Amino acid sequence: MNTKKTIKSSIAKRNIQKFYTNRLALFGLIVVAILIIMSLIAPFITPHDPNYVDSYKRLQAPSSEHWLGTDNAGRDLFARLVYGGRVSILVGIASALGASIIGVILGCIAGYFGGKVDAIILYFCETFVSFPSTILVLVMVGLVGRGLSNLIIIFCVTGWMGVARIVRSKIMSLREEPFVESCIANGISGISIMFRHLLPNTLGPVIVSITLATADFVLEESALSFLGIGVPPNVATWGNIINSAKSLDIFQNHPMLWVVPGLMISLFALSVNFFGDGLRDVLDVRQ
Amino acid sequence: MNKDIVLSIDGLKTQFKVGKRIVHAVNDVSLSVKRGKTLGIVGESGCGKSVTAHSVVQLLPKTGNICKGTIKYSPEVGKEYVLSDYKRDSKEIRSIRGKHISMIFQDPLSSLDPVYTIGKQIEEILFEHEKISKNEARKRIIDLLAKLGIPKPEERYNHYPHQFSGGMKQRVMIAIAMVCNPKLLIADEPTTALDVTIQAQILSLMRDIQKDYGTSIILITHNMGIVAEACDEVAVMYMGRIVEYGPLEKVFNNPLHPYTSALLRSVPVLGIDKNTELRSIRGNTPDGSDVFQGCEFSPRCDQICQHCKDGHPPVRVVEEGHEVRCWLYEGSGGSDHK
Amino acid sequence: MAVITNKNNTLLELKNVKKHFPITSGFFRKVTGYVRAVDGVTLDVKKGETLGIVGESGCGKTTLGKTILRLCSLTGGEIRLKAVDSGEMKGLQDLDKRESFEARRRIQMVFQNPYASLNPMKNILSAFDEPMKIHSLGNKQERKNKIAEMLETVNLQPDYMYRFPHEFSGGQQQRISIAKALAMNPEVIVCDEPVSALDVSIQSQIMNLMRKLQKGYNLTYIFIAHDLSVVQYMSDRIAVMYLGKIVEVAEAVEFHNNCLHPYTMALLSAVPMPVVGAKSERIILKGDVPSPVNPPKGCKFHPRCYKCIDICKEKEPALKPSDTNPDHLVACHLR
Repeated sequence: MNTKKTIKSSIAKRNIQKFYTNRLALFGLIVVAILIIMSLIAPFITPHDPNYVDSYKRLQAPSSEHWLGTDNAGRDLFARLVYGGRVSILVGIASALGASIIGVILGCIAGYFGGKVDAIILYFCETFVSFPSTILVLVMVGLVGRGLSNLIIIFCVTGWMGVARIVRSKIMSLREEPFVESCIANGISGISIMFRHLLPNTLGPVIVSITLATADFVLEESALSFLGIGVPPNVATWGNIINSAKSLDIFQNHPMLWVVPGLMISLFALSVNFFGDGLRDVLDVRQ
Repeated sequence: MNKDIVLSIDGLKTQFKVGKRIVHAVNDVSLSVKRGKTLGIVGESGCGKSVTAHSVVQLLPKTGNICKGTIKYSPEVGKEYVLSDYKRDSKEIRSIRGKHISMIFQDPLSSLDPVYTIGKQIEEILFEHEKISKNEARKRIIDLLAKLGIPKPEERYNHYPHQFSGGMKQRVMIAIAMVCNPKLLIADEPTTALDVTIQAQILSLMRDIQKDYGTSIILITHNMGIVAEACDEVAVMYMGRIVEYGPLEKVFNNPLHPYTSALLRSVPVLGIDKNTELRSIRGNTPDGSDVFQGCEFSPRCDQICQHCKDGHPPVRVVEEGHEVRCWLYEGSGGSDHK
Repeated sequence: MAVITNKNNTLLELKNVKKHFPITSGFFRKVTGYVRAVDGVTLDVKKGETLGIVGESGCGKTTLGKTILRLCSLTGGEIRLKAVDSGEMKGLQDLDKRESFEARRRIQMVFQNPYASLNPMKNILSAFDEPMKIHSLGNKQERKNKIAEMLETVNLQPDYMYRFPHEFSGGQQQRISIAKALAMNPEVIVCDEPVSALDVSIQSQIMNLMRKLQKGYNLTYIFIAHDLSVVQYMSDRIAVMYLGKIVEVAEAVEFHNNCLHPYTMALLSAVPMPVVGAKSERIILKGDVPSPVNPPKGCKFHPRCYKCIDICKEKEPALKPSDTNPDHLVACHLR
């Protein structure tokens, strides 16, 4: 058993090494980790309440007390950014994972069983895709109302099609491979073949699409909040921060209020993508 | 150059850049093709047999490069082109390809463009190299198709590749190769993708072509049976080098290199006694990027001697025209190859 | 029951096996025709023998192998396997759940492309272990020991079990495929072109290995290949397929010396021999194999046959024993 342990740890070591040599992925991981940790320990790194309105301190420049200044309601921008990260990152990651799980399951079933099952899932998928996604989200927000959890559910329901199609086509081509036939001929059950044999082979593209979707959903949450239909405006999110900075005066004279949250969104999206690319390479045993 | 020789390769070295490493796909290969004769290049996957042939017309991927050696081509006595001096994709080499030296590939399925009729695809080659009217071209192509055993050539002229079976597609490929009446035909595993009965058809067709047109052929294959049947001379390649080279009868009846004799005895022959165990060559076929001390075949060789690890064995001429690259024949009076 | 005792040695029996694939077209997937991949094959496989099945591409030999492995359902006919306890021949369709599952273990396979027959994302250990586990072949440690033993049997190091398929060469991968089949304690191994994707020098290693294992483990092989010389070397009996039908079955020696069907003769004469001057009279067939969608009327071989007479165009010959040898079956009017 010792050999097994050493070999297992050596595989882990090799994977870590592989990841480490990919500088961009490492950068992505570090930035994502910092952003997540910052938002988790927000109360310890800033003494300010993100929602405390101090009308005497509106639109202040950065100072030692307010590191990034204050917004038009006198709220501390830095505090709002780190607290806002909690919501934005949660929405991004939870929606991406949720949507991908739906997509993977439906894609697996469609690809493996084919025929009528596949046709039904595919028509369903195409119906969803054929609606413009923003309008679809708008309609659904109108139906179920605003709110953080509602938003995540809506993102999951409207965002699974891409993953489903990727997984379906990949599984369809893999299904014909001899190793699958060998599983069938050995009496291994369909569910086991689907999820234990075929799914790991589709992980590469799935992980890429999860990371892309995470970034997308963070952006989409920001966009919806900016339009005023995302998370309620009293909750600090990166989108809401930009949203509250949309007057012309602020736009011209206090760029800090929209440039910094904008940068945060871009930085997070980019880092997640880099990290995802690295992860895909590590998980591919063939490399 | 000898007047009987249509193509001579001398000291050819072709390298590939794979990442940061350099792979010597072809290493110091010298051979010559006689007029109207067939030279077989035989070896296992990755031995460099295809790269050697592709180097002749410089059909190499961007990462591959001829870095040493000369390739001389003589379409007729007194005329000579040095192909290795031409730049990749230069006008000169393109005028050689298709007109003087043409190729047939292994997979007829993917070698034809599915969106053009086969008439159009053959015509194109003709217009590229010759000034000829459309009607004349059509007539000539239909004649050629008929000669190559394609039934109803007038009708077939306007058909698309998917309307042909595998064997028929290979005939079309041969038509494309033969339309400009080349002096040298390079056939890279022309029958590997085909069934035995179709393979027999194509091989006999190639023999007929050689008889009628006097074309010289380089036949690349891994099948010793095809070599025995279709070739006049054989070059056995292993790891980018020619290990044995000579006339067919000499190489097959008196194989000198341990690799050649092992290859010959490792394939089951029809009618073989079932109780005889096949002679197998131990170990794996090496990767092109593996580096060896001494003779490349020594790790798998059964007749290893003390010299084998010392260095690459030089070429020994054991008999008139029968060359071998093996330390076992050091004492047999051969001199170093030019 | 007399029939059964007579066939005591028969392990697997194919009775008029048919597999037709429907061709559909249009939006409503209307069936417009059938590919008659396997069109009435009757064969029996004796315990411990190697039955070679040879034919050109598209003759249905791979599909036949898949029907035996139950990778595709039958359109007609029956495949029977000898039951372990009673020795009765039982149709694979009629088995109860437990027997059916057991039959999956008893019939194993080795495919042409060794890399594709192993899951690239799983290491050798888990690829071997899962089927062994669901067929309850020992506890975890026993299974692991067995895997190590099997790897050693095919001349690989036991600690290779922690590696992934891509880390092996083609020949090693094929050894692993064989070891994987062997680890299930099978009785029959269906080998579909097991050596045709390998280099010449590796082919002989694998063939020698397979013959050694057959003796050691008392295996029955169904050896499907297109290369006649390979099939002839490996097999005790050979069945020749053409367009979904068996045209000739004979013992290997008889097959080589005394074949009766014109197609078999043409096949044999078309094999290039690695001997100088072996070019004997060659029979070169005209044309290509017809499409199995609408095979020719009468004898399916008649449009290419060089001995065709009038009856061949009208009536399909049945597979019958030859006059001299009752074990030599041939489907030809001329025999």
